[in-house]
Amino acid sequence: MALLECRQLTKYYSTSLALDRVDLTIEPGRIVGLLGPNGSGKTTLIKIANGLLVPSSGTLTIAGLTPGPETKRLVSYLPERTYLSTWMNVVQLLDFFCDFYPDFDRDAAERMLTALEISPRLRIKQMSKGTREKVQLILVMSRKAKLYLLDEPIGGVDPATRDYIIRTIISNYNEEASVVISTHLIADVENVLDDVIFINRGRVVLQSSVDQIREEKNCSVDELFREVFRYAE
Amino acid sequence: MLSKLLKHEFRATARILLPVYLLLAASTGLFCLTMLLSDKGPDLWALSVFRGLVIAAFVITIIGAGLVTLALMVYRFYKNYMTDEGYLMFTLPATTGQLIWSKLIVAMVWSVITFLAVAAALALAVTVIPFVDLSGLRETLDYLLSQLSGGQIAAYIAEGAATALFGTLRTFLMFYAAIALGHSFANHKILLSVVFYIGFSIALQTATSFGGVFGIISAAESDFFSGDPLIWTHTLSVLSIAAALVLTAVFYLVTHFCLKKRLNLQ
Repeated sequence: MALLECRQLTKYYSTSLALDRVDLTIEPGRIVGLLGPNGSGKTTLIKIANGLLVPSSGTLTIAGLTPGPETKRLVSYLPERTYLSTWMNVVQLLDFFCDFYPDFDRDAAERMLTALEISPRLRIKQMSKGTREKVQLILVMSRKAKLYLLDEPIGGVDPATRDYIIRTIISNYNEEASVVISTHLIADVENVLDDVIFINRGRVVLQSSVDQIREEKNCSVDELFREVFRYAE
Repeated sequence: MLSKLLKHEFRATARILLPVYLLLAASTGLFCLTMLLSDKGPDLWALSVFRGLVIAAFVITIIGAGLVTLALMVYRFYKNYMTDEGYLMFTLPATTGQLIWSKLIVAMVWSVITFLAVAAALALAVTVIPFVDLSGLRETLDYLLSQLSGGQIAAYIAEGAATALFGTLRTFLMFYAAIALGHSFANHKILLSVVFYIGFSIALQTATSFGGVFGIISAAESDFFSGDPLIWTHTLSVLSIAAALVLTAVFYLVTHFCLKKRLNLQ
C-alpha cells in the first residue's frame, strides 16, 4: 500500500489556487524530493498531509487513512517554522516527545544532541535560530515513524550543519519508512534522493526516479530543475 | 491522550501561577502582620505610609491573581494553538476535542484554585482588621443562608456553585471561540478575534436584556410573582445554568469547527 497518495487534490485560499488537481503516490522505503520554486504549493501539500489544512476537493491519504489522530501517529513532521515553546529546555522537550509519541527513541535523540554539543539544560529561548532548528530536526528524526515530512529542513543553517542534517536524515529512517524533503536547495540533497516530484503553481509537472532522470535526460536533478523552472528571458 | 495533554498544560501554567499564589500568600501575611501590629509602636508618619503601601499591595495581589489567571488561560489557548506552537500541537495524535478540553479543564481547575486562594486570603485578612467585629458572624450567615434557601442550604449552595462553574466554562469558551474564529481568516487575525469577542458580548447582553424583560412580563402575567419568593431565585438559577449550558455548547461547537475545518496557521 502507498504511504501517501493524492487524488485530484485541490486547495483554494480564498480565490487563489494553491494546489490544482494533484495526483501523486509515495511508496515505502523512498527518499523523495518535493521540489519547486517559492509559492509552488509544497508547504500547502505538506500541511494537508498533516491535517493542518483541509483540502477544497480531492483526497489525500496516508497508509489509506485520511489525516487525523491515527495518521499523526505514523507521520513525523518538520515544519519550516520553529514550533518549540521557548520557555522549555531540551530535557522537557524530550519528555514531551516521549509522552506523546511511543515511537520516540530518546537514546538516539540524546546521542545526536551530544554530537552537536547541545546542552540538555539549555532553554529554547537561550538558543540561536540555527540551534533551535537542529533541536527540532533531532526531535523529528528520533521518531521511528513511517513517513517523515520535512519542510525546508536545511533552509536556515550553515553548510556544515546542512551536511550533518542530511546524514542524520539518511541514517535515521528505516527501510520501510519514506522521507519527503521539500526544498529548493536541490544541489545539497540531490545525492540522497531516490525520487523527485517537481511542483509548480500547484500542479505536479514531473514525478520520476533520480536514476531515470540521469539516464533519460542525461543531466542532474539540479540542472533539470533549472531548465524546467527557467524564467522567460 | 487527554491526560498527557493535561499534564503538560498544568506544567506550562503552574510555572506562572505558583509564583502568583506565593506572592498572594506573602502579601496576605504582610497585611495580617501589619494589621496586628497597627496599634503598637510609635505613631510615625512613615509607618502610616508603610501600612498604606501594604494595604495597596494586598488589594493589587488579590485583584491581580484573578486577572492573571484569566489572562494566562486565554493567552495559553492563543499562543499554544494559534501561533507557531500550533504546528506541534495540531500534529500530535490527539483529537480536536481533546485539544480544546485540555485547555478548558486546566483553565477551570486554576480558576477554582485562584477563587479558593483569594477567598482564603480575604477571610484571613478580615479576621485581623481591628475595627471589624466578627462576633455573631456565624449566626448571621446561618440565618441569611436559611432564609435564602428556605432551609435547603446544601441544595442552595450546590445551585450557586453550578451557576458559577458553568458561567466560568462559558466565559472561557467565549474567548476560545472568538480567537479560533478570528484566526480562521487570512489577515488581521488578532483584530478579528477582538471584534468577534465584542460581537459575542453585545449579542449576549442584548439577548439577556430581552430575555429578562420578556421573562418578567410573562411572569407578571401568570401571577408568578405572587408565589413564594424562593421559587423566583431557584427559577433564576436554573435558567442561568441552562443558558450557560446552551452557550457553552454553541461556543464549543464554533471553536471545534474552526480548529478542525478552518485552521489557518501562518
